[in-house]
Amino acid sequence: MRENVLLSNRITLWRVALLFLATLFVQPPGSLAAQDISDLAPAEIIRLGEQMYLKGLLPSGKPMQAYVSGDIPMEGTSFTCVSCHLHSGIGSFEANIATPPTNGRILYQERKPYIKGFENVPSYHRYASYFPVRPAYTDETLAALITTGFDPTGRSVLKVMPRYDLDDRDTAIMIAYLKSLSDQFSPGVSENEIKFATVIVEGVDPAAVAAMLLPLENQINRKNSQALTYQSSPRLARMANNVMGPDLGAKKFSLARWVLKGAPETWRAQLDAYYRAEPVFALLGGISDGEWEPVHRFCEENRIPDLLPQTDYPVLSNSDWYTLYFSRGVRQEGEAAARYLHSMYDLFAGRAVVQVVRDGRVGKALGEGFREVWATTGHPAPVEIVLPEGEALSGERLRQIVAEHKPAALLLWDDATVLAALEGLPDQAGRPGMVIASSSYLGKEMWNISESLRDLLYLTYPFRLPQEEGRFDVALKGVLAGKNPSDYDQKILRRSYIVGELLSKSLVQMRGEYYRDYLLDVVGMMADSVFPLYERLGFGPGQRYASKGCFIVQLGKGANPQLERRSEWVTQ
Amino acid sequence: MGYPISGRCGVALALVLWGTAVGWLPPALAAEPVVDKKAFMVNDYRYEPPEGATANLDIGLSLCGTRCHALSENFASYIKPGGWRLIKIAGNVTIRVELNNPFLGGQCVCVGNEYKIDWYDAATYRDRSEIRTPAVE
Repeated sequence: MRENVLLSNRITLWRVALLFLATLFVQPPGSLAAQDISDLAPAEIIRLGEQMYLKGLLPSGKPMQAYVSGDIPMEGTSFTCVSCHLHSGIGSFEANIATPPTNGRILYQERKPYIKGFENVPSYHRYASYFPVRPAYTDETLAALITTGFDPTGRSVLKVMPRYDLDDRDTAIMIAYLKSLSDQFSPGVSENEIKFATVIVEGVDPAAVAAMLLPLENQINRKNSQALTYQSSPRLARMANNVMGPDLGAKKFSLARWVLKGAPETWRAQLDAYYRAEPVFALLGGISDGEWEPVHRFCEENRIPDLLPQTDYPVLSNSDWYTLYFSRGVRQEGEAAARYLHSMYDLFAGRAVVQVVRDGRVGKALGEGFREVWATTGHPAPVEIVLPEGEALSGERLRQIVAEHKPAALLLWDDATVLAALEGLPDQAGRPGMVIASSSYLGKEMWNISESLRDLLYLTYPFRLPQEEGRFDVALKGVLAGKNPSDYDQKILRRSYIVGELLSKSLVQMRGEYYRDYLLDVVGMMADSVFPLYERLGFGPGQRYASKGCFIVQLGKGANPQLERRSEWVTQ
Repeated sequence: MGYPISGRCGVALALVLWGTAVGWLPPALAAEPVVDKKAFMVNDYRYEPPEGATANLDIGLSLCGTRCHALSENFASYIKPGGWRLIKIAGNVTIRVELNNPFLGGQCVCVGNEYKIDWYDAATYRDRSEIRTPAVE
């Protein structure tokens, strides 16, 4: 065994030695820098470089050729730059594994074991000490690093990074892209201030808007007070300095309100006008009763982060990057119902599953969520019955549906008017074993479900149970100081509180690198935190829907019932 | 929702309830049921199908996992200015509950430990616990 290890070490040393010699003799210094790419427009260079960085595809469209551990060939699409250095190129820091920055601004500076100006800030100092010192890169030494895996000190990085088989021209394109990556701070950031905005769609209940704004403005005001204190009190400034560094501690924040009026088709022009008048670093929260897609598109195209808008209809995408949502919206409840029923499908003895869907946006989203997940289970498709918009489901119609299909489980994706139709169902012969409805769709009427229905009716509930939420009251008290708590919708308030917390934690971790992509990179690296309202919020790299779960609950007995869980936190 | 309790805590609870009913316990003790001062934390569970019936044991066990864990006290919800600690007062306490699933009968046997919640003296802390935000609905 030991001989094998020694043999393996010897082979690796030989590989490294040969590769180093290759850098000396096969790649004469200077040849790569001399490659002329001036025939390409600057925007085209950036586009092609970004394609290599994000997708691992050469300008020709073919996959880049990567070599892992020196000589094991792999397609570059499996080892993209972005997967370790992240979108911003500022690098990553997860589970004690640090990946250094790869943006030109930092690469072309000498690396020291400290960050100048931040020597006494613990978080900066710890970060800087993870990486070995090196001289500033030049185009030639950077090209050598990419193609051979050796840095300017002769140190091999092949254990942790592939080398890429790029010709001189493609290497020059990549280097040009890295020089442009996270080069200037993003718009909305100045020496003394970071500007934010929140989008409010006209027509949303003013009380809901007030609940959304309160925690955000509280957070902004607290930060600005702290910045003032920072300037006036050297002792307190030292404390802030230890946590945030001198730069963030002294900066003030502002929050503009971008109110969108009229039809969604007109929002884009309004957003563009707001942005032209006052560019912001990021959008925080935001609220809409319906559409959010135009805001989502605006953020994608202008590369502006939008942290956790409050909408029931998030844009579902596996590739969009700039908007981070709380969840996949109400459809997530339909998905959870499908997973819950799947877990006990063997008990149904062949009886059908019937899905009654209200023909409207909420009902359709719930129905689609259920249908899509159910289709992946391999069970027979559910019987689907669509309720026309505006036509209430009568008790008689419901009894007919039950008599005809004799379902094991009945899903009722409708609003609270459906509760009247359910009366009497518990006594009907051949009734379903369980009826599942959406707590979000029923709204506050879910607390008025009659005693006779409580054994039969199950609810999808995408939040932490209310009786377990009390521990967050303490945090919310700071926001609600001097206010009447009952004036504010607690769900909206708590969601908005999460936005403020997420922002402050992220900015501290950004270490003064104010790039929009880095804000999202940092959120992606953030360890799971315990936040109000949601049982679990996860911000994994590239994940755009923070809460992925839902409880199935029943309403307990009595005049002041609690929710009783019938499932664990059902996740995707 | 009532459920039979076995073990020492069951005896204690029965005594307290009986004592309260006959009226010879001190008012303070009667007004503060012992159950309010204890926390049950499940650490094992099993499914017992109805006698003579064939049942899906795997699904039963899975459902009992949820059923029993729901009985566990969520101590993260304790908020007191002075803080608290849990003192173990009984081990391997067994609680039986009906599975309560429309497609599957039987019972869940939830095994856990019982703890006394020991609230720290909050006299030196400003108690703001009377300020409550409305419930999330």
